[in-house]
Amino acid sequence: MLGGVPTNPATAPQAEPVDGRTFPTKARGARPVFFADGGATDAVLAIVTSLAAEVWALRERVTTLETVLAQGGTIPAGAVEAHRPSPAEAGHRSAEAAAFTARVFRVFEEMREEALAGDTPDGYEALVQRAYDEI
Amino acid sequence: MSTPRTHPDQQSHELLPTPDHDEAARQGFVQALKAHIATRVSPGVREVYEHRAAPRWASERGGAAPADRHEIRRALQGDVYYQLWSSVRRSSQHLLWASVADSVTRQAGDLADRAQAATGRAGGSLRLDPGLEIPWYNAEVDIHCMPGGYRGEYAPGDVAVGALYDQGVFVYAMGQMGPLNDDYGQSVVANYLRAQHPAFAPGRILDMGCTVGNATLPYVDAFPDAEVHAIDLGAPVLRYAHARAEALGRAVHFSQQNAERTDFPDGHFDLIISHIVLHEMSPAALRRMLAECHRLLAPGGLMIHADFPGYAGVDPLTQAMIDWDTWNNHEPLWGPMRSMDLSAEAAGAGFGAGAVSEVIVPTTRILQTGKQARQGQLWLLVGRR
Repeated sequence: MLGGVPTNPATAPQAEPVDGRTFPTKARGARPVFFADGGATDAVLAIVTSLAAEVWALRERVTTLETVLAQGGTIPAGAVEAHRPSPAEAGHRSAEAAAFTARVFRVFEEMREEALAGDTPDGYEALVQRAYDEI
Repeated sequence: MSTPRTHPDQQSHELLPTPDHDEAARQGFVQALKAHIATRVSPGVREVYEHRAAPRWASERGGAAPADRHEIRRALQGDVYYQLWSSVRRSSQHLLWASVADSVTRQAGDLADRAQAATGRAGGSLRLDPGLEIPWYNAEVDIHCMPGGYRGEYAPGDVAVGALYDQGVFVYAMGQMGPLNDDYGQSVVANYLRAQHPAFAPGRILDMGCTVGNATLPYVDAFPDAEVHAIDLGAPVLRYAHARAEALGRAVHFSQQNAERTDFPDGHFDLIISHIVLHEMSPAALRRMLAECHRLLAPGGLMIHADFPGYAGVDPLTQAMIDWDTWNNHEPLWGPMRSMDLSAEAAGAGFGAGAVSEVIVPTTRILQTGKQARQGQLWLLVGRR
């Protein structure tokens, strides 16, 4: 009976994709806005986050290629897709991913250090001003 | 492709979508990002609150500190660290589902065929109700930002959101729900039922809000003589659940029903369970569900709802951190549920105060290579008929 079941129960609207897509990109319900700029900064951060995932996927593909090259000396067709990381290799990749993520999101740690130190842009400008005042 | 590609410690099965190289890499990135946010970024919110947001709030209000989690949230909302953390965290949730959804939609037709092929193997069944009214708390928002929710259907016989949930939950939990995402079921069986009720042998079992049946299957193994039923609101997750159970050789009778009011007769079940479902129901729906459990249980029967404990006794800043999901991660019922006295609600639903208890049990999950060995905790609302 799997194939014959009617789709889209008419009792409530569901998330729908835009034209040309077969599956919605977002969950039903509004996305929150965290910065008071109409969602611009949230959108930029969404782009940067997605971009980080793409960069990571590239890095991992290169890692796979290097591993396969080292193992075989050549790359036969489908070698990257066929490669299955060993448990040790998978563990290494997890550690690499953690280090990679820490580099990309370094700004949070910078901001934490700034908050704990009480550093502010005003404080920095005051320091510059103090230097000017000594002229 | 020789062997199916899985994540470390994940058990493959016929219905599980198989990520290609880059899809697996993106899913691995989401795990690394979530772990990084949890361990290296989220602690900064507490620091920023103590050093910056709370003092600012107090200075603007004659020295009065934020009084509760709601005021703490408002105090944090103006802080740029909180804004960035929130925005990246929300983006990570979207990326999680996108990284799995792209993989699932690429295989959607094949998954529907595999679901069809798996039926009829283990003796379970599937009963769908296309006219079922989807309650407001499930219809208006797709819980935890999962596109399509539990009920979105985009092709005849669609199982895509079921596959999305099965793979997405594994990525989300970083494997901590076990190789088959079944740790909550395993934990209730091993660390509560076996430990506290060793002689308990239910004849009929009902799992409410079963989604893809991931937590249902341990009960089939634990009670091989029992008739196991499972209900959910969503047709596509139930199609997937049915095929998944059949492919894994477990007989479960799935039906599309609202746990607030089912079509089973009075006293039909000896054991009623749910796993992380309470926090996805509205308070009024929860009350009706508890009353329905009381109606459905036979004398001597047990009701066990596994979820997370309430806010009572938790410090306000921790409450605010937990409550972030309520306001910002499509978990609108998370905070309301945790604000209820569910023991009192269960007592009022017919069980009586003497037959209700809240129990904390350890999770059973077995972590293998490359993961931090750590046991979690599960909160159980238990009612005895």
